[in-house]
Amino acid sequence: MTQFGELEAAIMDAVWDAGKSLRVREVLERLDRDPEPAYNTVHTVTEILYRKGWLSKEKDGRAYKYGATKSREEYVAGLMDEALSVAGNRTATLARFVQQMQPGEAEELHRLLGQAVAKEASE
Amino acid sequence: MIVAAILFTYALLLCTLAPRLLRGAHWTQRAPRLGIVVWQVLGASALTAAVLAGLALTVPTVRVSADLAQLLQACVMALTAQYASPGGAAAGAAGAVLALAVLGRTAWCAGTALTRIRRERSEHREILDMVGRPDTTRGVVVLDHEEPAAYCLPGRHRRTVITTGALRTLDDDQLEAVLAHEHAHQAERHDAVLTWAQTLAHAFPRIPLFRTAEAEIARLVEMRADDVAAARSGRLTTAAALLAVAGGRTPAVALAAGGSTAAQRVHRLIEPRRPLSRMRIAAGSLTAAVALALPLLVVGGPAAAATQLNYCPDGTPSAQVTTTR
Repeated sequence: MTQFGELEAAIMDAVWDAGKSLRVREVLERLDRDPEPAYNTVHTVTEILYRKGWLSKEKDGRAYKYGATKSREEYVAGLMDEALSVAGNRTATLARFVQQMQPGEAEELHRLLGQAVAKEASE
Repeated sequence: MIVAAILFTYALLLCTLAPRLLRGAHWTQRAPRLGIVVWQVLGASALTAAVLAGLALTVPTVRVSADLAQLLQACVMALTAQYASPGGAAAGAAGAVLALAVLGRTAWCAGTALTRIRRERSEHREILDMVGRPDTTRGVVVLDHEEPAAYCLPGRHRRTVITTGALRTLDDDQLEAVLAHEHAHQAERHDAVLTWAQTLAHAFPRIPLFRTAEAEIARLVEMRADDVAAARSGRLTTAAALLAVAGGRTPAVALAAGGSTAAQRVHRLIEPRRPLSRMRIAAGSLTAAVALALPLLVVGGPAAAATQLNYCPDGTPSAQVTTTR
């Protein structure tokens, strides 16, 4: 985690949960953190998130409003695509618990497993 | 010249014959860790033999002597003798090209693979830290997703990831099996094992040995991690966990005939465990050690025989090391 890692995640949570663009003041109000971070800290980290591409910013009167560039679900879907990808060169990046099965294989194995469990219970 | 020919033939046999003899061999499933080691050793041995064959063509064998001046002179004379004839020069050049090509290609592919993997991992981790919920009691990161899945992000800042779908599908014992499986991957550095196997397969795509080794190692590391999970949570619990995570998903692409690896793994866990006997594990380990040492012995043998053991000019420790080789 970077120095601001947790605060970054908390700010993104606030913006995602709001479902709309927020001013820094509004972000601060929605952060449920103890101790409450300073306005300047939140402002700095929000700008970091903007530079990293997580947030977009638009002028709103004299201040700026920050909105999420992608929804949380889109990011999660991207991670899952990588995690479940069958492309061989991913296996060194991630180690998945399981690869896919062919249709029909799962049913047959469920049956065999049921038999094995029953046999073990009877012994 | 003879040394080079022997090494080259040895490398050729390893690259073509070994994968045919060993692919799908049943004993590897019974001792996956030994299987992984044997496949790794075969690859390393073939690589070493090819490089040494090239070097043996390039550098003529010289009587090794503890007197540096004498040794250098002998080297220069042998080199001049070899490269004076057009045939000798051509063989030397071909050998140098072979050795450099094999070494260079391997290093280049390993370098690009490591850079790519490091970048992909750090990108994945950055997003994961933002959208995942850390579960400190279990030591995992939870992702909000319907599909049951569990995976780990290896490396220095490693993470074990599990989806809410998997948490809902698995009971506590099964979850423990899944986590034990992932921890085994990390503890035994299976990611590094796979990276190396993939690098060789990618660097020399036409060599059957490296292709087969990659596929077999990918299969065997999963079985090894299954064994660790089964030792902790029981074989049938591990099998049930595998089925629970794999069962609900439809495959995106057609898989190889003969059943998916996941199905083989479940089969293996359901059937009564038959680990390889100690005797056969020892025999396998010995064979692996011999395969690893063979190319070095072929090169080292004549050199050692040529060494003048009785000559020791000043008796310094370093000179003794050279002469007792």
